Amino acid sequence: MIRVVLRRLVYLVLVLFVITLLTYIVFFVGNPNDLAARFAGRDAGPAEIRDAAVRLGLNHGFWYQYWHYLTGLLHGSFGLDFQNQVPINSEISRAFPVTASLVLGAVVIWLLIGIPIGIMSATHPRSLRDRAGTTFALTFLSMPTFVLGVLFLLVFYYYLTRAGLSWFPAAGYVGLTSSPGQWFLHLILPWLTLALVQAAVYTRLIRGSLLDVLGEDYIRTARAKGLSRRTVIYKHGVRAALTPVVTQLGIDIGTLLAGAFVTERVFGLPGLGQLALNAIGAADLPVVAAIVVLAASFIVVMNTIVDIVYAVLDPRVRLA
Amino acid sequence: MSQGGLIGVDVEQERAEEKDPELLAKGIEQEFVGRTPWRLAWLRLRKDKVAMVSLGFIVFLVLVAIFAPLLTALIGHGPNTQYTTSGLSLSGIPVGPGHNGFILGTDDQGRDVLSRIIYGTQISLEVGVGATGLALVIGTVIGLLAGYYGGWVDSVLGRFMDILLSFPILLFAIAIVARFGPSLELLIIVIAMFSWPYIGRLVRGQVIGLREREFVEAARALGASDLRIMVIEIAPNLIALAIIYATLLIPVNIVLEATLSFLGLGIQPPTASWGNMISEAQTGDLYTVAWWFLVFPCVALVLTTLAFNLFGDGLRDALDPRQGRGHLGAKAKVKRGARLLVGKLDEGEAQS
Amino acid sequence: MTTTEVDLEAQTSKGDLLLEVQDVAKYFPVRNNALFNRAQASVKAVDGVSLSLRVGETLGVVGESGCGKSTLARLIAALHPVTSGRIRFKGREITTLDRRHMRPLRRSIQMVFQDPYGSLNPRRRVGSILSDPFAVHTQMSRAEMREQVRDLMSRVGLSPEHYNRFPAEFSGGQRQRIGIARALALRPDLIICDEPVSALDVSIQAQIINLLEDLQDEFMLTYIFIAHDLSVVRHVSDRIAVMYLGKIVETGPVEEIYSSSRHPYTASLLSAVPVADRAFKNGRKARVILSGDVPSPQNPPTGCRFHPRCPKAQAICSSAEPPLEQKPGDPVGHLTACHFPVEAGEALALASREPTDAEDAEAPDAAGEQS
Ligand SMILES: Nc1ncnc2c1ncn2[C@@H]1O[C@H](COP(=O)(O)OP(=O)(O)OP(=O)(O)O)[C@@H](O)[C@H]1O
Ligand code: SF4
Ligand SMILES: [Mg+2]
Repeated sequence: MIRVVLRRLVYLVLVLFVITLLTYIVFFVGNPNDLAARFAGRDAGPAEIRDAAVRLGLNHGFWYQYWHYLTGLLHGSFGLDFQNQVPINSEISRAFPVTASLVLGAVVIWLLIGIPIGIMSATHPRSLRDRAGTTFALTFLSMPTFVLGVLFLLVFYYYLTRAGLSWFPAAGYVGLTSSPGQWFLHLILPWLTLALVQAAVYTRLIRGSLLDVLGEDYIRTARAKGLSRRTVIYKHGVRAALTPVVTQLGIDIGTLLAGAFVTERVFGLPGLGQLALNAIGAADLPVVAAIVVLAASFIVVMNTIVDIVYAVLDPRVRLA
Repeated sequence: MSQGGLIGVDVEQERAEEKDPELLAKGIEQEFVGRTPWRLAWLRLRKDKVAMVSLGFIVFLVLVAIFAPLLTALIGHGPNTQYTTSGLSLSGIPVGPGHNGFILGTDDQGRDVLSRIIYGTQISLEVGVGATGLALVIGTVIGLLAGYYGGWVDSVLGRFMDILLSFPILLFAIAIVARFGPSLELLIIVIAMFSWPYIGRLVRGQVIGLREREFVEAARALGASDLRIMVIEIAPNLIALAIIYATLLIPVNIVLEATLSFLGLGIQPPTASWGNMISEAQTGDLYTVAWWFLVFPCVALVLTTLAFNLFGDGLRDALDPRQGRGHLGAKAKVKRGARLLVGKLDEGEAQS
Repeated sequence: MTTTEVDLEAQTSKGDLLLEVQDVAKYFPVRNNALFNRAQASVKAVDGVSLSLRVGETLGVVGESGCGKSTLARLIAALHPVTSGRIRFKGREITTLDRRHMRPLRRSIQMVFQDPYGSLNPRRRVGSILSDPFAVHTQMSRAEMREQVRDLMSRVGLSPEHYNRFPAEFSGGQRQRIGIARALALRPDLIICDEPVSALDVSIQAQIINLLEDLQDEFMLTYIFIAHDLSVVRHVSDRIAVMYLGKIVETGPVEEIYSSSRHPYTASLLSAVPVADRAFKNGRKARVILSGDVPSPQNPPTGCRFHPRCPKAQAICSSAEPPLEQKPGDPVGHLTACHFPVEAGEALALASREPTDAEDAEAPDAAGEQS
């Protein structure tokens, strides 16, 4: 157990090293003076550009910059951003709750939709219900998130509001602490947008793995021993079928927590995704690097959690 | 019998029936029905109506993309021309579908939506097919090397693919495009860069199975070089797998292009792409009264991904009958890696 | 083991010495899952085998599944590196050759594989598969290759018109003919046939074996013919080597082995040979019972590896390994690795300690029947 965590940590460090390096390379390739010039302000002369370079530490060259960034990371600090010279940590702590609200709510919804439909399809393969589930999955699988979001806004916000039914608020975000009700209302459409596409994936995943499991010998044995169909499906089958779901969930949550770019953009939610998009647009290197680091960390951490959950779900898996 | 899958590593189903030994004894060659594996697959595919309709739609899309200039000339509206008088009402509202010769209406700048969608098809297919092709080449070569040589080669390449797969892909793609400025070529390269590891992993898994087959051993006994074995013995056995997963990867990459364009990092206006059409539509408020110039590009995008997904599914069933169970069926026998990939592909990294 | 070799040489006189295998072993490392436990276990697939072969001769190798026959074949065909031991082909040491120097030798040693379905690439046309040998080893033009392939096809009894077919369009027997044609293409000196007929219908087996024999006469071929039962090899072999768990336990001229086998394992194999060759008793096949399964080659029994299943085993069998040697009264070249070789007329089945199947145990007297 401890060994797993340690190994994962080493892996995390390796990944972080590689991807921060890549991020820095991507941004530094070419001339760092470009970067300095961008932040020196409009109509900046050479002197101002040099000032900006000094201010941002760009005069020190690539490796110094990178090293500086790494040591900052070790102290838990992402440093200052290029644009406004504010601590990135505070920007992130403002944006993270938004993304977390969006993602965690969506996770609940997509599991609530995906798992039952998947189980239903698998337990009645080729039935009408299975077809319906399949059609659902197929529709949303082929629906890019931003298309779904944009159409939701059009129908549920504009058309409903114009019809006099102001059920859903316009795009935007209200903090949970300032008004739980508004928080909820503002997030309904983003949640559904994010969740429906994912629910489709999970429907397929669960249907596949459950059919797999139900075909296995030990399940047949359990049936033969006279256990009821229900017991077999829910106590034995679903439990085992959840393993691939857990893996996928770990990956998804990890990836999304670092920013659900599209959903945030469509609904104007000031989360990490928006922060990243803005930073990328402004070539605000430290912010981009910070979010890349966060993303990779989330992914690796979630993978570790998945491994542990595995061991709990499936007693055959031992943590080496 | 002879239900030969093109993918399966086990041979059970490929056995032709052992026929009348008497004939053989007399030196008479028995006639087997000329059923090559590809022919069988085609026969199976042809029975699959959904897949055939999807294939028809894909062919249609390809034709539309190829003849885009001709079609728009027939329509009489260029994709980027702003028809400020015929295409916009006096108050500046876009013209609806079917009015003034605009079959799908106009957008907020008075441009013909249909013409733009037609040119958008070109972009989508170029990026989708181009990036997938590139990913296929890289993924196959790397997967082949990793699977064939095993050992440290496999460790290094495998780790590399793992790391690439655990990258926040969209973020990285965005960063690169932002840094180097958007262009069609860069878009293709970036998308390929992040999608090849899926193919690579699958190919690797397949090659590990093939490497142990007796026909590879037979080639080695003949003194064939590693390169010859990889190219002549193993690669032909990967074609079916490659076709299936390429078909499933194309829609993912089309969506990725549309998403990047939607975020303003893909194809730049005024060049039309479905993604930037949707994005442009959504930036104003006009689409709330003139839904068509938002909705039609969405429909084009969804129908296209749907067609590729359905066709890919049918193809998988046809080429590898043991794995599929009907449409979108449980891939009950799909190996774990493949299943994960399917999940991945379906999910479409771009979609967050 | 050197004595063995000398004896074998003395026995065979058909032609020049073609192949000498000396104390060859192949251990496959087994990866155990514990990451940090590097104590390597290994499967001793072949463990100290010596044999030799003269031009034009056929050596039959028999043994149960998993005893290392295929591995031995692969070692000789240089498809696996040996763990230890030496293999000389035409007097030349081949175990130490690198790939480049091995290449020309591959022309001379060819294999026919067990599985006619697995050994032909399902995605390639037969014509293309059969032109491989020429493509790899010669500078022939396409047209020349095509000519050669058609010639080959007709030689092995296939219709050259089927040049463009895929393997799936042939029957098992025809596929095996393709496999034989491929092995034959470069006119090798030695062909190792690894259970070439065990995947085929009985009726077709005979045709394939006849084909192999015809080709042997025509091209002066030397065969190593592997099988898991004795009935198949009897027909084609000049000499027989019986393998058990990676070792040769008995070897000798074919009629010697059939008429007066000395090793209890050989005797029990013989009793399992079906119908035609065998004596009947009360209308039922007489069998010796082999109790238990084949032990794992990863952890072979001590002493005589056969002792846990041997009906004649005694205390010494589990501690001392019997050497492969000529037993008193046997002709030169008949070697047995057993402390208590079977005597003529001995009723072996009765000695069985733990008959697992009472029904079969009723039928006694198997090996004895032979003499
Ligand atoms: N590449 C390999 N790696 C690990 N173990 C192997 C390998 N090849 C063979 N073995 C093991 O070596 C032993 C001997 O195998 P081999 O294939 O030589 O047996 P065989 O006598 O040919 O059996 P059969 O009659 O089934 O073909 C078996 O236990 C097998 O599992
Ligand atoms: S040595 Fe002993 S155990 Fe081995 S075969 Fe002879 S009698 Fe049986
Ligand atoms: Mg074998």
